[in-house]
Amino acid sequence: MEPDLISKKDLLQQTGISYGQLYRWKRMGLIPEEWFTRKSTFTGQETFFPRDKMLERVERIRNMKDEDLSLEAIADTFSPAMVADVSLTPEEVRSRKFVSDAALDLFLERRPGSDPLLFGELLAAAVLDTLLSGGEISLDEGRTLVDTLAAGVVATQGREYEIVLVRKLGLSAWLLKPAGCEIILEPSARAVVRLGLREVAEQLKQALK
Amino acid sequence: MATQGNELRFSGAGSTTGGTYSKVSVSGAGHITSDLECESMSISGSLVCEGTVKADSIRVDGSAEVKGDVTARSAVINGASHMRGNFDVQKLKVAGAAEIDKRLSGGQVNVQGALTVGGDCEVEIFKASGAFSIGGLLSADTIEVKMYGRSKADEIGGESVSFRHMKRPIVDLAVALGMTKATSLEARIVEGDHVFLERAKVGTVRGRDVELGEGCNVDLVEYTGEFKQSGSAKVKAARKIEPAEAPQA
Repeated sequence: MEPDLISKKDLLQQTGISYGQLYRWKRMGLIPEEWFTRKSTFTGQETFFPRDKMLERVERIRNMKDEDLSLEAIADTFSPAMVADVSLTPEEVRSRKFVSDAALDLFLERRPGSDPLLFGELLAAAVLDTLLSGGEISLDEGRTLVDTLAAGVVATQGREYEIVLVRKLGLSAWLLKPAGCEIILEPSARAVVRLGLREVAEQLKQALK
Repeated sequence: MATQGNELRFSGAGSTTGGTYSKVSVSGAGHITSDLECESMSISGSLVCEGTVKADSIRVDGSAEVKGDVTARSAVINGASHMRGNFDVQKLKVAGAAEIDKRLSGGQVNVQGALTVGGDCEVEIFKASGAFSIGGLLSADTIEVKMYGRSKADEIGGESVSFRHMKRPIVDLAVALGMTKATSLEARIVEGDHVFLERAKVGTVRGRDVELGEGCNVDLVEYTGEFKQSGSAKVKAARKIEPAEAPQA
């Protein structure tokens, strides 16, 4: 299944952004490298982007620029890197509603105590929240998800990762893997959930502001 | 080899592990077997580093080879350097020859010699007089190249892109006699808001304002603003693209 693509030419024509802007945004990491895909067309190879994501991204960058944010600050929002200076107690997380109470409770069940949550942990709670509230995973799967992320999130620093849930005959297992690399499963196994950590991290960074 | 205070100095031949130093200087032949971090690094002899290098300033007058990634605030390469990984530098000046196997990223790049990049070269300002070869994308806000010799890149993009052919009587005579090729730049795609090219062989040129000077050979030009071409430029097709009625995103 191929996502809807938009060519670079059409993107510029539709949005009115310039080549200079597009290349600058790419260079500064405002547009993820993996969104640039090459395809052969009758005029030779052309660059395409995932249409909806790209149009939404251009819109968001423009809005942020309207708020007078520097390109560096915008890049930080979109970067998959952790935010170093985040530290919130479980109570602050609860009162500021970064994640639902159900997700936070389940998260705290796996990581008890009242120590402040750092960005990586907050991200794990947010991933859990996204998947739980989407009804895609069970509570038990939520618990193992927290353990998987706790073990792996630090290692994903600065790189794009996605989390995948594989089910086979009623059993499930989590995979935390670099985005863009394919996995090949045995025929009876199914990847039932896929979520990029970057997207969740972006939303979280926005919420933290 | 001597370490004094927090300085590492090679004057004969020596080998050591990496570490953190204030100054590293090599006047003989040095070999560093792991990652190195320092404030300044100056090489007038030769250095081989097996790990990564992180430095405030790097100066290579002799030769340097680094097998890992290199990060620096400023670097001057007068001799020869070969970086087998990525090179991230805020200010780079190449007067000799620099070869980077992977990606070159950073702020200002000024080349007066030869630059070879295996991957992409994405910087803020790229100025060169000489020749370069870039395996992937060359992108900068400003790309300004005075071409002596032949350069190539797969894709070139930025706000302002200018490639000017510099006259060299002897070479121009050789070209006129058919002894060597007239092309100075080869690229698959060139895109920019302002594009000026001379002696370029390019598949597709896209931009707002495009000017093709003498000796260009371009398959397709797509522009939204103005298009000019000199008499000796060969263009198979040129199309004006009208902007969409109302910008929407």
